[in-house]
Amino acid sequence: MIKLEKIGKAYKADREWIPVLKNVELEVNQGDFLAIMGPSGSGKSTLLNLIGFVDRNYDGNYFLEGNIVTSKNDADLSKLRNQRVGFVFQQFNLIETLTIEENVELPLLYDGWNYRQTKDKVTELLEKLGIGDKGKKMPKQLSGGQQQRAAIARAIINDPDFILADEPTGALDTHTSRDIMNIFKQLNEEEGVTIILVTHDPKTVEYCNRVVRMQDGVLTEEVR
Amino acid sequence: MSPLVFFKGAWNALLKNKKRSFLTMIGIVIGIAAVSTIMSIGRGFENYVLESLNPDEGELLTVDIQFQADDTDWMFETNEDFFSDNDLRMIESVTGVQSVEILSMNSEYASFDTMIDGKENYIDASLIEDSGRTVIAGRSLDFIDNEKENRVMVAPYSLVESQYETEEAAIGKGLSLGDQLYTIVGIYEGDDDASGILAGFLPQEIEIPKNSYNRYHEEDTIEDQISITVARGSLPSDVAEESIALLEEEGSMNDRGIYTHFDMSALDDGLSQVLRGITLFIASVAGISLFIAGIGVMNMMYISVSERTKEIGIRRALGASQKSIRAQFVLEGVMMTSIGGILGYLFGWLFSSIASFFLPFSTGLDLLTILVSIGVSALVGLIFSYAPANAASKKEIIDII
Ligand SMILES: Nc1ncnc2c1ncn2[C@@H]1O[C@H](COP(=O)(O)OP(=O)(O)OP(=O)(O)O)[C@@H](O)[C@H]1O
Ligand SMILES: [Mg+2]
Repeated sequence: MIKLEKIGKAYKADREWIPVLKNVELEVNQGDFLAIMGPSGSGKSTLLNLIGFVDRNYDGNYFLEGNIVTSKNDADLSKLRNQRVGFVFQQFNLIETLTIEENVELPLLYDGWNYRQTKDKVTELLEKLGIGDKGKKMPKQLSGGQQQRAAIARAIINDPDFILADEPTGALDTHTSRDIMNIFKQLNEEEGVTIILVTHDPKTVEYCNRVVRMQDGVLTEEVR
Repeated sequence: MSPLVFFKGAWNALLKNKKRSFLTMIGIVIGIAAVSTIMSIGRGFENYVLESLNPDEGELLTVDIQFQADDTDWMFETNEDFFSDNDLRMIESVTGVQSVEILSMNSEYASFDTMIDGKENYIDASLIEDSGRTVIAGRSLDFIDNEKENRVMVAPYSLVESQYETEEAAIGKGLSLGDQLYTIVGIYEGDDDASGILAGFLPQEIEIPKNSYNRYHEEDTIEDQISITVARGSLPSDVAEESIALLEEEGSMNDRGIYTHFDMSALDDGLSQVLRGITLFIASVAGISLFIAGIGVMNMMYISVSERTKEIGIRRALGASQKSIRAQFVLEGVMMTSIGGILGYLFGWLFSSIASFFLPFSTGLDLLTILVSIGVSALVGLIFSYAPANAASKKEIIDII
């Protein structure tokens, strides 16, 4: 589904170009549950942003379903982000001035839905993720685990092709981490959602079926 | 995104910052209140003038347009019509024109050049049909003079005092008007004004029988005026100005001279002078206050954008395009200033209602004022929130999340 070919990226610091990604080759298939591991600063988040159509400044080729994605305009990339990807972040990144329901329905609204159409879908999904009673609450009124569930609901509400999760359990305790990982596993196994996960935690890797390692911008697949 | 979603989003964002939005709005409210106050008063005054110049009942008003050639000699000699049929038809098509006609010279007055004591003089003559004014020597004109087309006249003594010692001495003497010789049959006492320093400048007025004039001088008359009857509900000055503009553009004599009309409307009286002064003052208050308010809106939008950097990043990650981020912030600005505009209009309505107690006319709800109030306030919002909104849309997502 996703195919990266000779991806390179560098940041400019003091007149010098510092390479962050070096010749990255990666193929992700439908139904994969892929973990990206590696030390801090090795380029994991950079790679994830690139896969998520957030970053357009890189070398090499990015194929999605066989079509090249390089050099697309903002409107096209926004649409891809809206319809193909779901993001889950370490810091949950819910909009604090909106209720949980309003946060979760945002991707649908940007896809052209109107309020009447979204209501049922949002309620149903919140129910499924175990926070059905929290829809009218503000993000601040929820625990970390509940906020992350809401964020996952928001990530999957538009039925994306894949979910990109950047250390989704990084801010949670062990018990809650396990709950969140179980949700991911369930989505992956029961609904075939492709998940790409950045993590430091070896325990979470156990839920995945593929692991790649990032070291100074070089990506290597771990054979298991 | 559907429009409703945009509106609700912008509305919610304003509500989240009620106090700040309200404070930013004050400038707009003041500016628009000023604008709508002057507009309401101005419109009230306009209606008042229209009413008094052209009431619903009574005779229709007329306005005269005169042609004045650059070359006066030509004007007296030519046989051409100064107003062609085409000109008249053209003016008939002007809105507010009921009918047009060429003023025939069947008037009460005429004027002549004459030589008195070797000096050229310009005299006005009243055309008399029956009895003329009382005299101090000789006799007055009567209807028999008119019937018989006698070439006789009654003149003020001041006109002839350089030639004749006494009033009586002038009786029976001749005076030429144009190329006709008239006999002086009566002398009346001229105005005091007519002698003294101004004597040379003031036209001297004599009397002659009307029919005599028509008989002996008709070929001299020039038809240089038209009379436009103004339809009810239109301002004579507007009609006259539009007609003159048309004539100057396409009139048959437009390269020979100019068209003029005498404006007798009340637009230039004291009341309108005072109103004009007040209008200018309030308009400058409104302009300055709207500009400062605009800067306030801009400032608030920039603060709002930087406070909501994270929100912008999240929205972008969820699929908001640069365009929709920009639209969201512009709409917030426009919505805020439009609400200010509505409040401002209501205040303006209040102020002009109060003002109308002290004015001889009333002001009321007026659609144009409402549209201008809301339009101007929305425009201020659009202009001053565009830059911050654009800055918001240009934020890099990677730097944010
Ligand atoms: N906007 C930027 N400008 C310059 N350098 C950047 C920028 N973003 C990231 N970098 C650099 O790129 C490198 C990779 O960063 P990245 O965030 O991808 O690391 P990471 O693997 O996700 O680390 P962590 O595990 O701490 O999240 C780092 O050295 C970082 O300093
Ligand atoms: Mg990272």
